[in-house]
Amino acid sequence: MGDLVTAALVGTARAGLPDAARLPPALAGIHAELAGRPPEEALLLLAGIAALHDAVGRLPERVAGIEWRLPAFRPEGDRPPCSVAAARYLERMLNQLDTAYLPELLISLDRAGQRAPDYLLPHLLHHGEKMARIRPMLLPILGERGRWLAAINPAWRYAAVATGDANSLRHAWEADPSGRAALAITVRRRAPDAARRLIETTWRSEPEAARRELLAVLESGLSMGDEPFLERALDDRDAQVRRRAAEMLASIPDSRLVDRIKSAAGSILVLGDGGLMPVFPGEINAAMMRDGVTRQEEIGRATAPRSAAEWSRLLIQTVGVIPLGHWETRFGLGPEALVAAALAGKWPRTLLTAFATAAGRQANGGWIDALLTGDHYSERTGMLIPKLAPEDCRARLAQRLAAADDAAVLVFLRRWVGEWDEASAAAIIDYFGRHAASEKETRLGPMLRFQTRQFARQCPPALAGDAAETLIGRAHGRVWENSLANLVSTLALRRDIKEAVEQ
Amino acid sequence: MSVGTADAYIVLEHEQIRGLAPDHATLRTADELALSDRWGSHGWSVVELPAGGRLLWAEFPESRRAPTHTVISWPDLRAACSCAATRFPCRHIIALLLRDANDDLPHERQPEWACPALPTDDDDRPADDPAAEARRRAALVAGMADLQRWLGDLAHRGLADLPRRGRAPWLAAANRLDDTYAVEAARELRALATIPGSSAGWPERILPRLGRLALLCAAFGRLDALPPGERGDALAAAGWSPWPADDHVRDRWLVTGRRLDTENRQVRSRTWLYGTGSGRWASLSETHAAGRLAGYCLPVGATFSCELVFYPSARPLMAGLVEPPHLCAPLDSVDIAASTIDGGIAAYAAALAANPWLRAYPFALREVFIEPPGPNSPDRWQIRDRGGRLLPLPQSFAHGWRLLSLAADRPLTLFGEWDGAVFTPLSVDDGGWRAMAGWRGLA
Repeated sequence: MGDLVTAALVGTARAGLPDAARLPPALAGIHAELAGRPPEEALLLLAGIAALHDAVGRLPERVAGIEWRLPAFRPEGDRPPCSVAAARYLERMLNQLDTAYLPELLISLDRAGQRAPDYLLPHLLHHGEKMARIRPMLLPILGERGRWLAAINPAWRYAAVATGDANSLRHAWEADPSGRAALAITVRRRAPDAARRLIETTWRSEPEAARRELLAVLESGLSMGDEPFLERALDDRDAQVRRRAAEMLASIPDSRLVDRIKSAAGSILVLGDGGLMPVFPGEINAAMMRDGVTRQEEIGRATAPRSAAEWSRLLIQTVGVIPLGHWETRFGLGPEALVAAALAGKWPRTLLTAFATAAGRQANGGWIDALLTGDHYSERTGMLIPKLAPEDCRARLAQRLAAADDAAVLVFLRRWVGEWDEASAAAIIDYFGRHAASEKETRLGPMLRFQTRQFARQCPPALAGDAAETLIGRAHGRVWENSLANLVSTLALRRDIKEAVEQ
Repeated sequence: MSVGTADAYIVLEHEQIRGLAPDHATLRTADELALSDRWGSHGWSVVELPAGGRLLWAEFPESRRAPTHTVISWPDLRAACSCAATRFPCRHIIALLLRDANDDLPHERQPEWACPALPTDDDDRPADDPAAEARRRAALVAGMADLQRWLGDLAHRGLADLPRRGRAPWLAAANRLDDTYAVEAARELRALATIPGSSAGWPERILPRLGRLALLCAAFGRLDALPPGERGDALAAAGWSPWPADDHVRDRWLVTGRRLDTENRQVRSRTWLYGTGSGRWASLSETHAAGRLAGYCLPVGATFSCELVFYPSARPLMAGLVEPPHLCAPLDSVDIAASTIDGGIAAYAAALAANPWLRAYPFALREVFIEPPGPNSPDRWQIRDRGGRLLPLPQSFAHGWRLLSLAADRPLTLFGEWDGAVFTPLSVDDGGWRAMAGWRGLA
């Protein structure tokens, strides 16, 4: 072929036809036959015949050895694939339809001990590659087959990490900076200390945004073991990281930070005239600032707070950290009495917020109860609602519903994060229905409608049918109609997904 | 042909229907449409059609436009749709079939618009006019002689300055060929126009193809002296629309794959059939303007009984329908004579020796493994058989990970086209033949 190409490039006008002796022997006869034709015609025909000669005789490449060079696939003990219907939902969500429900579907598939079907695994892995956030939920759904596949594609290594093996972990940590937070979340669930140690390996070289993200990983499973690391983070370059670390230390009862604040501000409250009064210290020193107590930005100079807002922030940042038992012993009063005293004092709203912050951090049941009832379930103490035990929360909600306390119900709706049980959810659906049916729009109407969206995600899907029965056609006015229709269709979709998984 | 009423009620599998989709976007929208409630009147009715059986029809309301009308007849699965999609079948047709497979269509009298049944297989070929035929053929022969001179000039001057001369001469020559009905030769010239200077080694790539064109011209020089089969191949390679011969085969045909190419507002589809009785391969080619949404739905994995006629060729593969296909019950076990890579290559070599202008040859390969790009082939997926033989897949093959996930360590059975250099998989045997066209690709 080489001589033919040379001749063709130069042109037969100058090069003529190559010699027969330089062609493959099989073509020599044809060369002789074509000799009578004009050279340009003969050259192309020879090229065509040589190409055909090659094509007919060409065999594809063969590699030595028949061994499969991909990693061995071990399907033993793999989870069963999910039902066809569940797979269809999964496929839709990976195709950006109803993607908002993907985490819920992934979690319920995991609970059911199922994995994604074979044909969806590449798309699932691809989704995880693009969205690091979803990885912790996605990993269990991949099964052995998915992990095997992930080990082959360098972009999917995140799914092939052996979280129990320190070497594999360290390697994955080094290889994929953007996936570190997701990996840390996964590890934190199994071994909280291992996750912290991983974070510490690269902590100093991480950019600010990554440090904030990694610090947030430690919020779940926080323990005294994290205290030294967090204590060091109080001196971080980034203000957000410093503040976050201080908040996290405030939630560890035995931390040095809590001790320090207690000794610095343990006498900030006094009891007088039946009410609690703050006694503000003269100035906020650098040590307190390091512990998360902020003051007006006047760099390098210790100053006292000046405005009421600053005093109020100081109260929250100190009383919110100090163990509540400290006040009980100091004043010899129980939680109810102290809450009453705070309400009777000079700074009732601020003090209540500060106590609520402390009660939330310390998960102090007695105080939570005293604050919620003492403040009549206002938004101020609403942050304590997720700390309630589910049964307790239900009982309190039922009581508020019975009392037609709209503002308190709204706080419950807004603040509760878990799933509602069927009885409470049914009561809430009925409550929405009653509000929607009333001709007069109340002040809370817009906020209630807004809460229907969140409620649709927290209501047990089994109630979809009841909700449709209770709510369809009941609304008075277009806005409520839309909200309720949205609620009903979301519930129906969630029910269908749940049934598909349980099939 | 007796119309088996039972055949009108054969149910296609969901995956077979979804395999009709020409691309993933169509499949996705069809799935959505099948579940949605935006359907106008729809249903099925019993009608008297040449192929007998059932008529499925549906109307889809459109905003500010006339509604879309979709009709499908059973058991010949001829479908027509009035929507604006460019590729057949569109989402409406697939959604209607999916609803039917779900038993989700009411049995009702069809509305007025669905009555004047479906347009029957309109024959585009002009009526048999021997004079016109002879004129066309003379023009084709003259056009090829012109091409021969043009190629001769090229070889005379030499190829070295082709990159400098640009594409214009190629396109002008291609347009002249188009005017003389040599559309395939013109297409080849347009493809060749992109090669000069495109990369190192372009002369080695272009010369064999120029040589093949020259061979074709030489064959046209003595067209009448050729045996009928070879003559048919030469005419088809130049672009003459094939004419039926007397090679009629009645069989149950298994649909194994369909390939769709769109170029210049023209959609070309090639459907591969395997005769379960005769053991012969047949390809049904269709070329029509984009947007003409009528035709037979031949789902991969389904079996049709009908008579085909093969066009004259030394190695007959191209065929045409003599009568509407008739969907029949799936056969219990079909052995489509899948071979090893070596077996396939040997069959291809024999076919190429008979028909030097063969473009695509059907390959059914069993016991093959798919391998991701690796040290051996940095940018391509490959398949490998137990003998260690490797076949490259197309550069932009998008379904490798999915095939690998389906297979894990098991061998696969694949069907696809081999063009002498690249194997293009079209379907995979995964509990029945499944088309890959509608799969979501992953680069």
